[in-house]
Amino acid sequence: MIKDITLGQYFPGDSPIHKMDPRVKLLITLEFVVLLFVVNNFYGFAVCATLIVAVTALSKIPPKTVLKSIKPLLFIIIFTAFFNLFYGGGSPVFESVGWLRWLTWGGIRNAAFMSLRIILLLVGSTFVMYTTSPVMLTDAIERLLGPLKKLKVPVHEFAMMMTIAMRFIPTLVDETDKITNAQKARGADFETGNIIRRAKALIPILVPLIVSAFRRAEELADAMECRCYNGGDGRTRYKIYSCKSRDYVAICVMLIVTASVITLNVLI
Amino acid sequence: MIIKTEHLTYKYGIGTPFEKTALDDVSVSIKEGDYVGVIGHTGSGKSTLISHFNAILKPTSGKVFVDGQDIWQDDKTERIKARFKVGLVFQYPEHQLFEDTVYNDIAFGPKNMGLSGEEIEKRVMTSLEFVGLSKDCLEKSPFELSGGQKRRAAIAGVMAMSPKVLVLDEPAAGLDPRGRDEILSRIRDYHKETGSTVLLVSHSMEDIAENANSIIVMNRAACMMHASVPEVFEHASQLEKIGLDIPQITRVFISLHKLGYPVSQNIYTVDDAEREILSCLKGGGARD
Amino acid sequence: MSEIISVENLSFSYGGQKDTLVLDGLDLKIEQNSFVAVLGHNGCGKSTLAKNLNAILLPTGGKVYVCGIDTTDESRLFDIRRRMGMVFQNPDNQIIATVVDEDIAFALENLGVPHDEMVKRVDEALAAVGMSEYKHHAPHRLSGGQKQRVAIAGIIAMKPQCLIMDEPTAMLDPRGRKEVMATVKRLKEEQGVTVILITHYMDEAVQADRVVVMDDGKIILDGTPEYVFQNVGLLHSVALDVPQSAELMYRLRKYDIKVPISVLNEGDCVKVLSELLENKIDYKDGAFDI
Repeated sequence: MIKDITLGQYFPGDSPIHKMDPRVKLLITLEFVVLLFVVNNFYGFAVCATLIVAVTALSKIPPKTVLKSIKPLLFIIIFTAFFNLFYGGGSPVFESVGWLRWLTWGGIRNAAFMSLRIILLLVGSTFVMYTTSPVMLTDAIERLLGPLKKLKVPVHEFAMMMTIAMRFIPTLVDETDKITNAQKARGADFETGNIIRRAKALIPILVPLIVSAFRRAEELADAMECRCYNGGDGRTRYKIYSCKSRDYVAICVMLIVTASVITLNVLI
Repeated sequence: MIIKTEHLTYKYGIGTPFEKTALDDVSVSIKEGDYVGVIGHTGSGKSTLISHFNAILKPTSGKVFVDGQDIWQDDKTERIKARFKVGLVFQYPEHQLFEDTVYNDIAFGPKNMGLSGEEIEKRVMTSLEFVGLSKDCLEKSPFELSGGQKRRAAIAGVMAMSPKVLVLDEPAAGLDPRGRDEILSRIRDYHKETGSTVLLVSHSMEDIAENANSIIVMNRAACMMHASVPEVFEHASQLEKIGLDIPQITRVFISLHKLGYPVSQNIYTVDDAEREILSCLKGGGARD
Repeated sequence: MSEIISVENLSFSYGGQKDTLVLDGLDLKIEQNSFVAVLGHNGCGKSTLAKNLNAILLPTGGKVYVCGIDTTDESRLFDIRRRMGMVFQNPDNQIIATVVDEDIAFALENLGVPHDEMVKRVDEALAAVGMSEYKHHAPHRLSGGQKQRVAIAGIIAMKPQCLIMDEPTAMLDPRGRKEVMATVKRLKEEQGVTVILITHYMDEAVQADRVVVMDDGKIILDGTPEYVFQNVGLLHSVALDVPQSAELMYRLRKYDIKVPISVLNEGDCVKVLSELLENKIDYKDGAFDI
C-alpha cells in the first residue's frame, strides 16, 4: 500500500524544536541561511555546525536522517567543489608533478569552504521541514506573508490551496490504488513494454482519477459554501501561535551565534 | 473447487507503525457454480480476501488455488490466467470507466485478453444484455450515462471477460431501491444463465439471503463461518454480536418461535414470511 | 414562529425556465424541531430541493423562506447558510482540514467567530457527536461513520437551527449508519435542531416524525411514517420499498386477512402476527391457496 507515504519530510515528534512557534522557526532558518553567506572563515562554520549538532540532539531526529538530506544534492556539491579547485591561487600542492601544478592550496581551501557552506545550508534548512508539519508550515508562511495581502497578493488563497492539496493527497493516493487494482482486474498491464506502451497503459488510471478529482472538487466547493466560506476577508483564526519562553531562548541563541560569527569575521 | 485458500495470511504495512493483519489463517473453498455471499463488517477482511482470488494481492503466507492451480507457485502465467478466470468488480466500479464510448470500455478487458475483434463484439453484446443496457448506449460516452447505468456498464466490462468466477464487492452500494433490485436481479440471472460461480460481498444480510446459496462470514480477519444460508442464520444472535444486521423479518420470526408459535426460524425474505404465515393459518395456526 | 421552512410553489430547473423542471410547483412547510425524512428514487429532485433550502441553488419560480428569510436575499446569505447546516453523502469530500478540530473550526473561522468562543464551540461540537477523543486525529485515518460524524460536528459548530442531510449514510456500513442515526437523533432531542434527512433506507425513515415522498419534482405523499407506509402500492409504483413488516402486512391483507395496515417495527409485527396465529384476527378460511 502506498497510502502511508509521508508528506514532505515531516518527522513527527514532541521535542522542544517541534513545539516551537513555526513562524519563529522559519525566521530563524532564514537568518541562518543568510548567516552562512556572511561567514568568511572556517571558525565561523564551526560555530554554525555546533548549532546544528545541538539542534539535532534536541530534536531527537536520528543524525543519519539529518545527513540524508544532503544526498539528493550530492552531485551539485561535488560539482561546485570541483570547479572551486581551479579558482584558488596560492602555491601548488605538488610542486614537482608537472601535470598537477594547477592544484593549489588555495583551491582546496575554496572547495572545502563552498562544500561546507552548501552542506550546512541544506542540513540547516531541512530542520524546519523535519520538525514542522506541512499544515503548520503553510499556516506560518501565510501569517508571515500576511502584510503582502495589502499589496493584493493572494496569500490566503494560496495557503488554502496548499491546505486542501495536503488534505486530499492521501485520498487521491488511495483512489489511485483502487483504480489501478480495478484496471488490473480487467487485465491491464502496467509492467511490460517500452516507455510509450507503459505511458499509454496509464490512461485507464489517469482518466478516472481526473474525473474523480473534478467530482470531488465540485462537492468540496458546495460543502465549503455551506460552511460560509467566502475567501480570506473577515476570517478569524482557530489556531493562535504565541511565542513562548522556548522561542525567546531560541532567538537569543541565534543572536549569540550571529554575534560570534560576525566577531570571528572581524577578528580573523 | 474453483477457488481454495489454505492458511492464507495477509499483513500490510509490515515494518511500519501501521502494520495490521488483514487476513489470519483463512482456509475456504468455493464450489464451482455456487452463489456465495460474503459478509462481515468493515475491516473484517472480506475485501482483502477477494483481492487474493485474482492475484491483486500476494499472500504473506499460505496458498491460493484457482481452478486447481496454486497461483503463486510458478511464474507469472498462472497469475495472468487467474486474473481472467476470476473477474473482480470492485466497490463503485463506475469510477473505473475511462474510454470514449461504452463499447470501448466494455471491450477493454476482452482486448487485454487478446481476443479477436469478432469475439470481442460478441462478448460486448452478450454482457450488455446481461446488465440490461440498451444498444443505443454503446456509442455514448460512459460519462453521459446515469449513475445506475454507469454502474451496470462497469459490471458489463468484467462480465465481458467471461470469467469462471464473478466476484462483486458491494455492487448495489449507494443506489436507490430500484437500482438495487435491478442490479441484484441481473446478477442472479447471469448466474443462472451462465452457470458460473458468483461471489457477492455485501453488508446487507437481506440481499445475501435473497440471492446466495451459501455464506462466508468474515470477522476479525478470520473466516468465522462458511455454510448454507439456513445454517448461518441459525446463529443469528452470534451474527448480531459481531455487528451484522439480520433482516427485520428474520428477527420477527425468531421472536415468534421463542414465544412458542409453530413457525420456522429460517425466514429471511418477505416471500418466505408470507408463505410461512399462510401455511400456519391453513393448518389451524394456533398454539394449542 | 413554529415554521422553520416554508417552500411556496417552488420550481427549479438547471438550465433556466425553458429547461425541464426538476422541481415542479412544490409546497412544503416544516415545523421547528421536527424530524422529516425525504424519500424518492434517484433523480426525483430530493437533492435539488435540499440545495434550495440553503441558497446553494435559488428558485427558478416560487419562493423559499427559511427562518422567515427569503433565500434570494443575497445580503443575508450567511444568515441562511449558518441556520441551515448541510451534510452531504461523501464524508471525504466535505472535510477540508488535515486535523479534526481544525476542520470543525472551518465554518467558525469563516464566520469570524472570536478565538475563545471558537475553541469552546469546537469542543462542544466534538462532544455532541461523541468524537472528543479524536480531536487531534487525521480525518483520513477515521472510519466512514466517524468521518461523517466529524462532518456533522463541522456543521453543528455553527449552531444551526436545521440540519439538512443528503443521504448521509449511503456510503457507510451498518455500524456507521447506526452511529450517524444515533447522533442525529440525539442532536434533535438535546439541541432542538430540526432534521431533514434524505435517505434510501426505509429503516431510517421509520425513525422520523414525518415522511415526505417525492416523485418527479413533486411531493406525492406526506405524513407520519405510519400513514405513508400504508401506501405500499403507491410506493412500489415510484420504485420505493417499505419496511419488511409493512410489506408482509400488505401481502396478508391481499388474502383478506384483517391485519392492521401499517406495522413498522419488529415489536408491533411480532404482536400482530401472534394475535393472528392465536386466531384473534379475522380471516376468511380458504380464501387463500398456497
